[in-house]
Amino acid sequence: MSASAEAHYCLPQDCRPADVEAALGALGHVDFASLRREQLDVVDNFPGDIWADGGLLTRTRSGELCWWHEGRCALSLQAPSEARFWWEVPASPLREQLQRCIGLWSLMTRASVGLARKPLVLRNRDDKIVVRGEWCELAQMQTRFRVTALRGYAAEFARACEALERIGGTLVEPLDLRQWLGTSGLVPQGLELKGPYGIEAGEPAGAAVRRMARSMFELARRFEGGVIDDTDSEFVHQYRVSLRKLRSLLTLMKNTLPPDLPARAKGELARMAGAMGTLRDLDVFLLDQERYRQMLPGPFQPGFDALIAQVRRDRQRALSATRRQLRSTAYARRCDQLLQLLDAQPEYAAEAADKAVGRVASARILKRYKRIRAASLRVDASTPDAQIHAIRIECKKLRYMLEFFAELYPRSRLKTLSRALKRLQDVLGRFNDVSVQQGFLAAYAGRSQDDAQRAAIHGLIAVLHQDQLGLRDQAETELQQFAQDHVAANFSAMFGRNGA
Amino acid sequence: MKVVACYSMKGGVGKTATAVNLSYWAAAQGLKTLLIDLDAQGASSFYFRVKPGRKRWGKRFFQAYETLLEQIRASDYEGLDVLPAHLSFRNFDALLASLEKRKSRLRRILKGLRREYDLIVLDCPPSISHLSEAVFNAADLILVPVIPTTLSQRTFEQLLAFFADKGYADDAVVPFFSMVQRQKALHKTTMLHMRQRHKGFLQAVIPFARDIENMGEHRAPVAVFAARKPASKAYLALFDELWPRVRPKGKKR
Repeated sequence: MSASAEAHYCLPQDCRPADVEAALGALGHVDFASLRREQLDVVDNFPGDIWADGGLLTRTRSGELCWWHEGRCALSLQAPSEARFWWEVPASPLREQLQRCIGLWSLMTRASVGLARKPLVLRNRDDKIVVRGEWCELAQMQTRFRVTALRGYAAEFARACEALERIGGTLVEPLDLRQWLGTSGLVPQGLELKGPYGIEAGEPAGAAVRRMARSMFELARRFEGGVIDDTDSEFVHQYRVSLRKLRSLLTLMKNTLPPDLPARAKGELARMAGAMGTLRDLDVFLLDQERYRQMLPGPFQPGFDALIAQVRRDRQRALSATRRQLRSTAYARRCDQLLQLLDAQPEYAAEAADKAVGRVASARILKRYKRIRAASLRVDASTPDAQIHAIRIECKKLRYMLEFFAELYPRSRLKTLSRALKRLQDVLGRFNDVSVQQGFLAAYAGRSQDDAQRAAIHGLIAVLHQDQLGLRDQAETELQQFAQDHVAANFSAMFGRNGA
Repeated sequence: MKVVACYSMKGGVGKTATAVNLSYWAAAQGLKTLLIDLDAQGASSFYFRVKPGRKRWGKRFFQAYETLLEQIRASDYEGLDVLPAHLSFRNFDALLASLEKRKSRLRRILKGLRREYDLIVLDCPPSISHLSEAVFNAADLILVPVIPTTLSQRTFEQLLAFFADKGYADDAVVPFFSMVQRQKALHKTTMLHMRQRHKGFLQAVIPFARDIENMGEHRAPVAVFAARKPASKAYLALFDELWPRVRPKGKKR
């Protein structure tokens, strides 16, 4: 059964269904179905990752989700109307696509388009359908008509196309909803979580770093609304990440800034984060609750339920504290002060303020890598965990540096180095997470008066400790890999004096 | 791709109604389906409001695949195409008699359609002839409507004897009761008797119903104008029973 041929026409603004009916009526009997109006919501996560990735996800009011690819609805399914996270969508290829694209963010409506559709059939003298068509109005901005040929009725199809041209229809490409939304300006711009910051390798480092710092701070503030509304856990996470990156930037590039700026700004930033650290720890635990539940045998489940209920109550308290803080006048004043600090003209130039930002960044990156490499080469089975954690923090700073200044280096070469670093960080991160979670659970065990709850917590700690031992071995292996000569050579080639 | 022939030596037993309704349900259940109307009377083409082209192309039916493709028409139902009958099809027997490898001609010509369709339904004329033998060679299933009367029983048994005589495997023959009037004692006893004698009868039974007769007036499958009536349900039950034997690999309903 071969695919049906289609022709798409853009109709004049003043063209009405009755005009089409009259034009096609000369060829046979026209049956127009009643007009179906529907609202199509463009949904995405807060940063707009689906759109940025070249995709488009729409949801109808009846809950049908549709993933568009190359102008066509490639994946679709009926999802519960309350589904906001990928794991709330029924298991399907679309869910997998969502998981890859939106991470832990929730879906939200980014734009809405009103669609009016009116299907049509043209029948011959035997009342046989010979041509199908559909009238479509897009957001009252454009009217289109699609004509579909039926097998064996090519002549009727051609005559229908001619009739549409006679009433002013212009043959156009099939509607690419994404492209149309892009040109109509209905979809708001997404967020760039990792730059670029619009810096150039040759510009003075001081000005570039201050501009980057301001941009990071503005980004952090865009998450405040989602934190207050408790839209999803990513808002808290990204707010904290943005402030942490900003602090790192100020520390790592401190000799390009006036001497008192980093210390003063970091003080303000630490106070801004406030109770959000606790909120984030509780979120992380709750996000992983199903995994933890599966670690525990049946008899421990009631105790685990009690623990979850306690964590939820604590989270609510931490959220209330965070909301109070973000709405406070003290917070608004702190934000203003920080911006003034970043914008103020320095009284005298810092040591490296006028050096080219590219040179300064390269030197810092290479220095950081060499420090990590030296520490990694010293790691063996007897190295204390605290030392591994210290290397992890250094690695995080190195990754931030690579991210901050990514636009100054060739993307493909940077990707190779970033990939090696990411692999190491993944292991170190998991090693740290299990350690943090054990501490988190131990604190709950200390507070708990409930024997069943304490038993569940101790059960979890035991399992996490086993995980930690396994991850420790992996961490040692990955550190050795990252310290290898060829990785060191790549870093030197890219960031050394004669580098990129 | 599976080929199902709606066949009986006897006329007026419900072959065309079965072919039309079976094709409709197959397409409605997601099978890309082609109904080929081999009967020069063109009744199933009429039911789908599909007219043949003007050219007398019947003489090229078994030789020119491209010509055959050109004659296929979309029906009004998604996933269902129709190859309408032409009056020139009445000469199929004489045509096949003049051709070599006449028994396998139809099978070979249908083979070319497997990329496009999951199911081909053949609406056959009532005869036992060269064309019938070509159909027996081409079909995976030969669906035989049997009215539970003495004459129909005799005709069905003649068909089985023909199969035995020619050495055709009779497991492709799938009989079912058609135009059944349960209030008639003869129908009841014949059905009982035939089910005992022949194990392959389908459980689905097509009733004698006004709705099936009305297909001619509506020019549509029963489900389109009498979806909730017993006749429509009976054809769906028939398709359900055939589903395991026509289901494309990996296809779920």
